[in-house]
Amino acid sequence: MNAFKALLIKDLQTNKKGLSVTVWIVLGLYLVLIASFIYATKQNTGNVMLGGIPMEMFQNPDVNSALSFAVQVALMFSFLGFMFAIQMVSISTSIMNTDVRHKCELFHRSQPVSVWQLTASRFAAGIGGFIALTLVAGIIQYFVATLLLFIPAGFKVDWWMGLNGMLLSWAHLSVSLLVLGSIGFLLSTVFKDNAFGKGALILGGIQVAIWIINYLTHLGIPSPVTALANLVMSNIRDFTSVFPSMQYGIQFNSHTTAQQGVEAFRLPPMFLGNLWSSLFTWGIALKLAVSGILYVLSTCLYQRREVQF
Amino acid sequence: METTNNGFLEALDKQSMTTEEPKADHIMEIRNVSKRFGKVQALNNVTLNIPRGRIIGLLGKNGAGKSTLMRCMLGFLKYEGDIHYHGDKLRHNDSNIFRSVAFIPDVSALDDRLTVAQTIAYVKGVNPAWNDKKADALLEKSDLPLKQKVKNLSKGMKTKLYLLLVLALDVEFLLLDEPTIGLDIIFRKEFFNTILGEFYDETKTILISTHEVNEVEHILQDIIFIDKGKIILYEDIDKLKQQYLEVKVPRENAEELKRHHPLQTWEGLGYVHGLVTEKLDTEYAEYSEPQLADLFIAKVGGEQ
Repeated sequence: MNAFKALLIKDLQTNKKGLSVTVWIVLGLYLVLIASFIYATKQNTGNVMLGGIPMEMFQNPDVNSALSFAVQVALMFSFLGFMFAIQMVSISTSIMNTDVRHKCELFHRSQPVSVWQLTASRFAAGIGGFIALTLVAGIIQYFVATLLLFIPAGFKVDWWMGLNGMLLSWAHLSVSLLVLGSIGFLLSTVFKDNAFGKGALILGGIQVAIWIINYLTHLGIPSPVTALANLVMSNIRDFTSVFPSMQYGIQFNSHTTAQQGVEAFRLPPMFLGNLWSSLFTWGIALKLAVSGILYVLSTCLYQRREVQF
Repeated sequence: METTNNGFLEALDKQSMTTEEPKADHIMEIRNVSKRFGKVQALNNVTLNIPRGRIIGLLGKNGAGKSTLMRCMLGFLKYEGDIHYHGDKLRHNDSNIFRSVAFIPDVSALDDRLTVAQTIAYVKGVNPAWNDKKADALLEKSDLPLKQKVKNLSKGMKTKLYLLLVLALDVEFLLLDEPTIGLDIIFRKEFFNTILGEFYDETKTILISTHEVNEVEHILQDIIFIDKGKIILYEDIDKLKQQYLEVKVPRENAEELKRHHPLQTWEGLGYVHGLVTEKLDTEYAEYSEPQLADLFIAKVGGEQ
């Protein structure tokens, strides 16, 4: 256990730069957001939006709870989600090859550390560490977005609902990131360099081949890209569909009137319990299982790799 | 330098190049190991035993198979044949071997993302062979800047750090693969002296692969010559040197030297040098112990 702890600490230390860059980017983005928000508020343009939701809606105390929740979800899935996904792909597809790049693979592999310990530590530090950092980013988001809500909402922000919104959406995003990271991890054990590019090329090649086969034979073979997207994102889609108004909320645009928004968010009781139960489904269990299988497969492939440099 | 391919070489083949290994308790047994990288046959049916308690040099030209052999011995590479460590068959990527074996590939192989303190803490944490007392004593002697990142260390400091990491381990077998590449002569000397002083005793085994054979010749007990993936000599150095004499004769007596079928001859300032098995019938000849490098060139040919 001590050996694994030392390994994990080392992996966090060596990947610190790649992991922490996310928090800095989020901090930077939110600073820009705050600055834009303050500027827009001072200019009084009348159509300031937060997470796609017109700010004027926040002034209605009837929907404060729902909006406090909705803003967190909307920001997590739209504002942070895309950036996290890109970052996760970047980290996970290189995590098993950073030692090769730094020409220190022989040093690390000359320690009495089994391949299983080694991959578990990398998986935990790279993918787990990144997911943990997205929570830090989520907490930053929670405070920034809630404080931004605070002023126009006349100090009636529902902090508790906001926190639930952030945590629940973070949990769903984490599951998606875990699956995405596991796929990237697999690629990093198969390819020693440019794993993402090679993986994308293979997937693209299969997709094109299927299009051609489907075009010629009308077999209707399902698209692997769609299947992969479903595997990664279906829980987020399912989660937001549990809460139909949320989807509407996320899709707010400049033509949405404040009254429409209020109506949309004049919700039945927030049924938080129901929302949290969306994490305990067979679909989520399947994703966790797929992630575990991908880890085992990755380790088996990595074990077959030769150490040369 | 000129190599004479004559009866002498055959004698050498028969006497010392039959890979007659030193008789001892074997720590590692290598049987018919072959390794191929694509079309290149890196190791070709290598068979040898590594005895306990010896300091062995592994000498070969670039691409001769030295590093490949070491990587096979550590389970880093897949190969045909068998390697047994303490009687147990070595498996590919079996990290258990590193509980009693340490390896230094090149001092630049350290992880430059870590600080000195983090590197020490890491090895201490993952390696059960770590000996705190030894490490503290070594650390006290060194002037390693603990907070500095490895990437900011000079090559000399990296050497000190790598030595500390390895010498603080209670292991019985140390493999060094061209460990002093890029180091200046002072650090190279210090490196090998430290290894000898701090690590070696009769229970420990050291296998050193190096180009700079002259620098380690004095500490080696056995020598392995490898060429084109084949072991062409494995011998106790003292025995090997007893079999040959380096002779120096004035240039006008060169014919006398040739009559003795020297293994190899080369020109010096006003003299001709050669490797022979017995003394010449001339009073002008001067004798000395042959250098390993000369024996190597005689057998393998060409420059090191």
